[in-house]
Amino acid sequence: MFQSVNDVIAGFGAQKYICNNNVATVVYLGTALQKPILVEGPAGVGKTELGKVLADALGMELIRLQCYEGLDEAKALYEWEYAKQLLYTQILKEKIGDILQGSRTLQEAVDCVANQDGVFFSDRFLLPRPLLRALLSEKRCVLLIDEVDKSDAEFEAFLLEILSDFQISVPEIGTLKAKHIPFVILTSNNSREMSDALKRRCLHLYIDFPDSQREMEIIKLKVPDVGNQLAEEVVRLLHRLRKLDLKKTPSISETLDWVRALTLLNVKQLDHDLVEETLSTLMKYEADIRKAHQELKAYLAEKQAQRPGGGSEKDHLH
Amino acid sequence: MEERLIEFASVLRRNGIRVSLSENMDTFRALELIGIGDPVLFRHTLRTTLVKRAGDVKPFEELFDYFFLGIGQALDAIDRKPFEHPRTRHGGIGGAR
Repeated sequence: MFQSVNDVIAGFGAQKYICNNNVATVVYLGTALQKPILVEGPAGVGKTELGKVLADALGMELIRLQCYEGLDEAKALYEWEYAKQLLYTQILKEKIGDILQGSRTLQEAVDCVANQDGVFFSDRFLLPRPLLRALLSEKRCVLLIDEVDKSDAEFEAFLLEILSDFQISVPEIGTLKAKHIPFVILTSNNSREMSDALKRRCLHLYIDFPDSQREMEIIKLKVPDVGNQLAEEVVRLLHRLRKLDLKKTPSISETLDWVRALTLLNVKQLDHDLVEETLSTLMKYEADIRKAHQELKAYLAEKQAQRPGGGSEKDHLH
Repeated sequence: MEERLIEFASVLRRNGIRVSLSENMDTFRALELIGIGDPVLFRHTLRTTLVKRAGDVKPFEELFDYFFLGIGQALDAIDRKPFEHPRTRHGGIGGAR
């Protein structure tokens, strides 16, 4: 467990995740107050990564529930293993025959079977899905509920119930209570606004793209071989690209992929043929790549123009 | 301090940021852990417990400055008494009041 905000920064740093005071404060409070954290922000800023790193930093298991439209309780909470139940009845046919031997009418036979249904609706045939797994886990774990905005309103209401009581009732078995309350991280891309009731239960964290300085730190931490000049130029270009109207803004992980590719190809600065050819690691849509090409050209032209004068390059960093 | 926080929550409410009682209590519990010594952490703590919409972050920041840093009050005071400055008090332009 984290003892303070600085403890979080240090713990995350050890997992190579650079977090600022704001992120650290929220994570510390979430773990100390045992409240779920709702993380919002544009795609690709490291929201999911936050959950993974939290689990690693605390040395806990990560249980992940990926949300999508139409996700229901059977896929999120638990399901009866119908096939297994059927298989068991097939194998146990004779035994079932024995039990039914005494009964003369259909009514009696049904009653006989009904007396036995506890066997078939027991833990043995219960298939726990992520939410139930997180509740029943022997050790405290981190539950990552990813892209919760993709799920529908009914599922959200149901989630709300679980997040407030940390227990569920299975009609055939009874109430299952959490052994340890898991640390819950919910991520949302804001494709729809979550309900006030859910938000009230959670601490809220908004993560945006990092500023130039922080992004430099991230690149150097994750790709130690990168040259200083390349890292600086990539960050400068990226902050220009993120201002464009793109189908998909380059994420931090894509930036890292690109820097890795460039470093591997031994590219030291952005005026290089290979830069254009590797842009596809950064951008995933043809139209975006075209726009990026233009921006790159504009950037290189400006760089060229500045070279004789020199000196003023630093002003462009922000 | 508690009164001040409750007052701040009502300022947020008056400005369209929905703050519930349970959220207000979360703030108290959180501040017991974080303390009120570090102004940056104090601000982050209030924001994460009270503001739940990305769109409310900016108004929150402004209201926080207004309320806790007193920038607003200072500006307000200037607005209200534009001619109270000692150099203009007895001067001719003061008459505009």
